[in-house]
Amino acid sequence: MGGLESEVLTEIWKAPEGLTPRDVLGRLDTDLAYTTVMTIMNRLWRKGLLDRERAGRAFRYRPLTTESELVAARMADALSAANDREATLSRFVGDLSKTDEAVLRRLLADGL
Amino acid sequence: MTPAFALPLVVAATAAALAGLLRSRLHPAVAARCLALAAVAVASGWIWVLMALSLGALGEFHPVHRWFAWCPELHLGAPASAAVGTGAAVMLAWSGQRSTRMWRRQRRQHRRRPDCGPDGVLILPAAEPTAFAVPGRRGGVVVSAGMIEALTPREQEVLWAHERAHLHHHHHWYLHMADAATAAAPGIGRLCSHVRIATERWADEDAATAVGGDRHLVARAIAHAALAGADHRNVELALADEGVTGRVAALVGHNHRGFDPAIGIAVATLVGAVTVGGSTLQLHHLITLVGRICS
Repeated sequence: MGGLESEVLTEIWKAPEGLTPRDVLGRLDTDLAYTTVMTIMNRLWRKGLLDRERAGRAFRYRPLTTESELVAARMADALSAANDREATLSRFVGDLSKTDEAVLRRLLADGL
Repeated sequence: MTPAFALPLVVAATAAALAGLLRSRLHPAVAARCLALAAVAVASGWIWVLMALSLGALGEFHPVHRWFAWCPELHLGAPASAAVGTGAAVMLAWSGQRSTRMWRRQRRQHRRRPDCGPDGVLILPAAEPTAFAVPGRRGGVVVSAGMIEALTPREQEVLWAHERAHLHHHHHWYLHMADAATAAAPGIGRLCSHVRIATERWADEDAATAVGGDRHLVARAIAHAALAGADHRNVELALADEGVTGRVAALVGHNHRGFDPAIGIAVATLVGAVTVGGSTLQLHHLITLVGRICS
């Protein structure tokens, strides 16, 4: 997630009643184009982080995830991307090789 | 400079290798503690060797020769050559840089911890099966909806017990110790992955106790969770975690010989003695050296 997406999300979290791209643009201290903000919010909606409803010609966006959830989701991404040896927090299970996958499937089929 | 100055490193490395070899015979709680301590002992032995070599070579260098002239520790036997000393100084700087980078990464990770709320549980709406423990005051267990769906209710109990064991026993400290040691002494990555596996095994054993000793249930939960992750990604991964099948085998394998308390006591005593002995010796050398430089 880029810095802009985070900034937009933070604004929307502050306003549970929902914001249109125009509202967000007004609250951000930037010279971004309206269409850029609209694109970002559309992307966040497609990622399942925002809910939206029609408000006139635009959409009004509401937060779907809490900030904690987002931080945790980012952490999960980082954990699956990072070399497991480097990540300080460990996952319940790591990634499997094809061989290990076959071994586990056989064990379960044999009534593990 | 006598070769004896490298003794703490050699002894610590031997003890660490022994502990690594015997890991499967040790209770994971003993293994994790011994291996983390051994990793720190090896790293401090390594740093000491680099310091002694670079300071020793500096003592041979003419313009500063007289500063070190009163220090017999640095002039015993064959002197360290300028090339060896420079090499050691470069390695020392590299270790310092790696440690700083690791420390920064950990701080960054620490700042970005999610707040798991008063229940200590955070359920992510994500479909990708994932679960991990977040240490700290506002920490807890983070589990995705996908992971919950992949497990039966009994298997979910295993998952909670496993993650809570990580938090309860402060496993992140062992991992921090291992990470710090790897940063200071490159080349002990294998020892540190032993520490990681030992903490996972420890949490598995705790989970088995929590579900009434049903080791097969724990093994099934691990297998189902791992396979759900593989199904979701559906791509061949270059970097696979060799730990999963090992954990399942340790729980239900036929060749699992059980933990031997005698080996546990022996290894713990050895690693403890090596760590205390090595660090006392290094501290003694260091104090003598600093004392002479400053006098």
